[in-house]
Amino acid sequence: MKRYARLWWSCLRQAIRRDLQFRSQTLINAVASIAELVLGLIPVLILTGTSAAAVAWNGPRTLVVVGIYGACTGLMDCFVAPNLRRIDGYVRKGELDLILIRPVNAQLFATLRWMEPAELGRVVTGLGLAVAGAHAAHLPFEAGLVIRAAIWTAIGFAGFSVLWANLVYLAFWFESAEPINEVALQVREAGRYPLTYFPRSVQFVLATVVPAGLIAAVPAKALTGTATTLTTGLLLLIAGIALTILHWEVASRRYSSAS
Amino acid sequence: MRLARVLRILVIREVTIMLHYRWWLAMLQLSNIVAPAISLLVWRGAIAQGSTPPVTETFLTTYLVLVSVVAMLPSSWTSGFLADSIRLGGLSSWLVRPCSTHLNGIANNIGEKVVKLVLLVPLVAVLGIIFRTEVELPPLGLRWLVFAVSLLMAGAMTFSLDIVIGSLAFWFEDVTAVNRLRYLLARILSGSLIPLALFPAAVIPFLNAQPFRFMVSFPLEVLIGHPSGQAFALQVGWFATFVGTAVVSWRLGLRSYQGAGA
Repeated sequence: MKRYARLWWSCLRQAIRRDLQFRSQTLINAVASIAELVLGLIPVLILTGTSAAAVAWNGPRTLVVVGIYGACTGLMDCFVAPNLRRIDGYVRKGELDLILIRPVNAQLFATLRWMEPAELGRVVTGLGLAVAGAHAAHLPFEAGLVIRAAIWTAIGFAGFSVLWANLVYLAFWFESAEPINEVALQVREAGRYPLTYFPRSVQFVLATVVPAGLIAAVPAKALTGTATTLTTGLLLLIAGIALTILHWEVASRRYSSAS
Repeated sequence: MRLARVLRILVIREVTIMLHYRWWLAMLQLSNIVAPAISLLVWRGAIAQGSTPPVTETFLTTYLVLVSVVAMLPSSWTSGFLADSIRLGGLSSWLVRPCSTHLNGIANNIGEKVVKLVLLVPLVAVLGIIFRTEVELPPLGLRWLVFAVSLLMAGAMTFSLDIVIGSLAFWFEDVTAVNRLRYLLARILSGSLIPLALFPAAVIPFLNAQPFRFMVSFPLEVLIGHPSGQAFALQVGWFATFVGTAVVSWRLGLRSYQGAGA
């Protein structure tokens, strides 16, 4: 475990050094990342603005959802997405060889090797938005509720990453799996909206199979003290992780290298 | 005439190449339809729960069903390829040919549109069938013709903007971040996510005048709304500005082009 922590820390340091080497590009990427969050807020605010009275989700509470969504997806885009986007290339070009020969868990290394620290600007901005929204909505800052919301966000983060990983593992089965990353990113956008706006069947899907709703909508609900217990979420996540490990085992057997 | 012949040959070549990537393009089209489908679900959910947007449910539904295909048709992916060819020197091989690299860019865009259209239309049709009670299209006639003209101008504007952004590679090493910012702005300001009419009244005059509106929203407004003649004149104005800027930036850039290794 300690060895993996040291490895992860070395990867992070290397990522920061790389970003410092291309400073203007990093700066523009950080600005774009924050702009993505701010611009993404617009459609949600317009939606809740025209329907606040009818659906009982006002501006400040929506701000909490979008803020948590921004922070969580910022972390995902920093630590997970850069790796998942590369899986297709690893398989197609035979670059997975260089990962398989290392004395580390190949799946873990392929999922956490690359990082984009510039995306962390969105995490700070997102948390700021969430705190401002919670304050304006007069949500109680109780430690228990905040911890529960944080655990839900972690479940959402891990759950959606697991789904995304399973989708990119399709690269082992099909040659043209690269745009699946775009599909995952677009589906993730559903997490920006409070679940109340979706039909019941879609709400169920977004809370289980496609856990975009767990990224922010459920944690925001947890802050109000109305979210369901954590047990189901944790059990589903454990099952998801187990399936993903199994999927990697089966899929990587199909890998024939570039030679 | 010669230009048209060369373009035809290039388009046929591009379609043949694109057909090799049909599954790749099919998945890309799937991602294109997800965002409008999510908007459609949440807005219809809000309306069902008593929300009152400033447009009719029919307009909103028809707009969101059609937006993926109307946004795809005038889109362009030239800037990245162009920037790469400038940075890596691939442009040199086009400069010595009796055919512009931009004609190749146009052919590439037409080729991918042909294949994408075949793949996207069934997906849009499925969405249209699901929400058929609230989808309303005008009968074939003048409105469709004006829509086609508006769409062509939108395509020319997007392609010109791509040339401007791609040309930045004459002076900067990497233009991907600029491209990312442009896509972010276009996503909101073009109306490809939600109709611009849903924005607060205070920003509507700005939204109506800015160029991104004429790349997606305006052609759709022509088809299912009632835009003014003044708006059409504004599109012509932006079209001329974008094409002019592309010509100037390309010519200026070429002067500082050195070719890889030269």
